[in-house]
Amino acid sequence: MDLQQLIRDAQGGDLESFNRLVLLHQDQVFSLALRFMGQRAPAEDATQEAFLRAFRAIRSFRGEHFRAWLLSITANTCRDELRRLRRRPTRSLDAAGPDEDAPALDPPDPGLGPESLALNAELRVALERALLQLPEEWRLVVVLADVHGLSYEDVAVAVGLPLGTVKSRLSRARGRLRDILVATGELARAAQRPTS
Amino acid sequence: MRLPWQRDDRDSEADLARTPLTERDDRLSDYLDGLMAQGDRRALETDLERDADLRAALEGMRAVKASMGMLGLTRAPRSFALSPATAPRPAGAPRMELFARFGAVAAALVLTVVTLVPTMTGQVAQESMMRSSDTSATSSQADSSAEKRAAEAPAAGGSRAAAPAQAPEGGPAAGGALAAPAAAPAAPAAPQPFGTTAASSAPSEGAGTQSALATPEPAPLRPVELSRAEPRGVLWYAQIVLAGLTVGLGLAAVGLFARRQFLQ
Repeated sequence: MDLQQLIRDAQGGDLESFNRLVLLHQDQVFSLALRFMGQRAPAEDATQEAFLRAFRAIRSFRGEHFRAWLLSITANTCRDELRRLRRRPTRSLDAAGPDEDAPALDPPDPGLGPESLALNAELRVALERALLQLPEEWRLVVVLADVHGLSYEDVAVAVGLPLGTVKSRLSRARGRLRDILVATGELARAAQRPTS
Repeated sequence: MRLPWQRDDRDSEADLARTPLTERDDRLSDYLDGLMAQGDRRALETDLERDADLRAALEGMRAVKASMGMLGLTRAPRSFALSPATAPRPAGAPRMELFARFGAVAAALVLTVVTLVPTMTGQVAQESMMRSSDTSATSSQADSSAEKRAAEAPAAGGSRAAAPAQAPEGGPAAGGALAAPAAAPAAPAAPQPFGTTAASSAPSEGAGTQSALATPEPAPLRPVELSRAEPRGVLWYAQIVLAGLTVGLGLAAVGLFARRQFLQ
């Protein structure tokens, strides 16, 4: 069954069709939530909440950019979750706080594709850390564009911003990431060693 | 390193300020994404040939973009499929949406009617009361004429006979005010809007019985009637505006609710 048919069925209230959409997109949603939130537990909460919101709002979906629509709900959910966490940081989250010696993000599953293995492990860790140093709106834009591969138009839909703002945020985010990686020397080291 | 919820990103907008360095990165980013016009692209390539720092900046950004592309997606740790027990009811179901929209509009209309009808009914009552006061004023004038005729017979003038003679000049208020205490001194004046005075309470027992004997004369145009028309119109228009505002606010509220509900 094609995507549009699944969407139509889900809009008709068919939970099974919606759950098939969930399975098709949950890696995308979870990846965005993980990079936005920085840790697994809140990212899982945000992912589940995003799908709940998406099901609640599925009838409002129009058009063909379902992934961008779903990721926009994810981004909004993550923003809400971050605001909530800032207001009321819980003990468990503090306890699970940043560890200077370990990446906040788990490495991706190698089974996702050969390109996942192509990136040097040290550079990956450095890049994930550098991402967390970006302002969250910059991080969102650069992750959607460069990791998820969304077009500028889809990124604009997902973040609810004009195209020009998306472009400028993307360039600033890339520039900031480059500067961080250059400052840590990771970019130069990555250029010298072969990719595994 | 600080996690996202431990940082304050309120200054991120300030970071969007344009500087020569950010403008350089804007150009490089557009170049990498192939978004540059032909002329700009050639100009940048010329700059790249001459400027080693610019080349380094471009190569660094290219490496970042390529590395980001290779980060890949992280596999979800579990299924996030919704169970029938926990799945929320989808919002914006056609019937419920229609019910919500038209129900709210209907509620606003009902509110409007409920607000307007008693007021308009009150105006109708006022008008009928004013008509009755006109009649009573006419009766009272007729009574006065009868009294005057009666008084002329014994050729004895009284203050009571003189008062109605002033009525057309002084208006019904003056005439009524003079006539009422004589006719029914104990009766309190009923509250009347817009300057209606005790003239409306004038048709009391004494005057009423006398009016039965007198021949009514046509009542002269009362100045107070002319002054009533304008404030009543203003009030009516004010109520219309208020009703419109109520409906408008109701629609706006429904629209905002729908936008929030359906567009997240």
